[in-house]
Amino acid sequence: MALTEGALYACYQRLERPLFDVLYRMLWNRHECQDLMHDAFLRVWQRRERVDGERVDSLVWVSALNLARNRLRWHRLWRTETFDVEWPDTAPTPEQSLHRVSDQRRLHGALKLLSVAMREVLLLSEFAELSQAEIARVLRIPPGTVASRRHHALARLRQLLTEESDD
Amino acid sequence: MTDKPLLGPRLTPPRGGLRRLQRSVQALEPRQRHTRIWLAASLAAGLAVMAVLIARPVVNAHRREDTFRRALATSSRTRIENGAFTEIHSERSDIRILLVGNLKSPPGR
Repeated sequence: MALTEGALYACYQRLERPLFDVLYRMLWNRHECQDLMHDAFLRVWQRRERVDGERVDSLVWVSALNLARNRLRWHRLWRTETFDVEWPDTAPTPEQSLHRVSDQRRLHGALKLLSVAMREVLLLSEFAELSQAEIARVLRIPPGTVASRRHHALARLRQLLTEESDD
Repeated sequence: MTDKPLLGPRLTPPRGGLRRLQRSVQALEPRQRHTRIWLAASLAAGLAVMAVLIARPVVNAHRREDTFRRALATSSRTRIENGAFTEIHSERSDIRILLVGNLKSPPGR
């Protein structure tokens, strides 16, 4: 069955936040993330005749991750990098607010040091609200690999963040 | 186990994403239909030109053959000039129909 317009918009509302959470931690630019999300949904829409309504979520994830990888490659090629201060500013004092920005910078640096494969598994398992099997399908890897990559990615991230805070 | 604190808080995407997508989807629709119509029309035009180019010589050849057959059938005045050519009766005074033989000479001549 082909994808309907209503199903596409429902999917957008369902995935908007998790997609943004994952993409933002890959690209660190809110407008670029929004563009990618828009392009990913349009790509799926252009193939609507062949899209099954039940597979639409995973297809959007696959398209969005592909676009994000291309974007990262493009940034590496042109040596450009963007960094928005995006964390919600709920800190009551300027000192705490400053602390919040430095936390974000530390996370940005640490995530950059993880391999793309590890980073994707970690972010998907934390924000995408997908099961291990679904993550495996999106990333085209065995489910066991998802678990091991997530475990190693978390350990490495903790280590990197601890090293940074010690410095 | 969740490690969201490690990875920072949940974020709010910029507003207007859904409306932008809706606009793009609606803008895409007529353009795709137009493209399909244009494609079909240019394909049809190309096929028509090809058909004319192929059909014309075929029709002309048929016409020539028909005229020739008719001439042969009604021929009452067939003349052979030294075996070099045969003249067939033509219905028009300004047209002479000649059959020119192009046979090889028998071996040894």
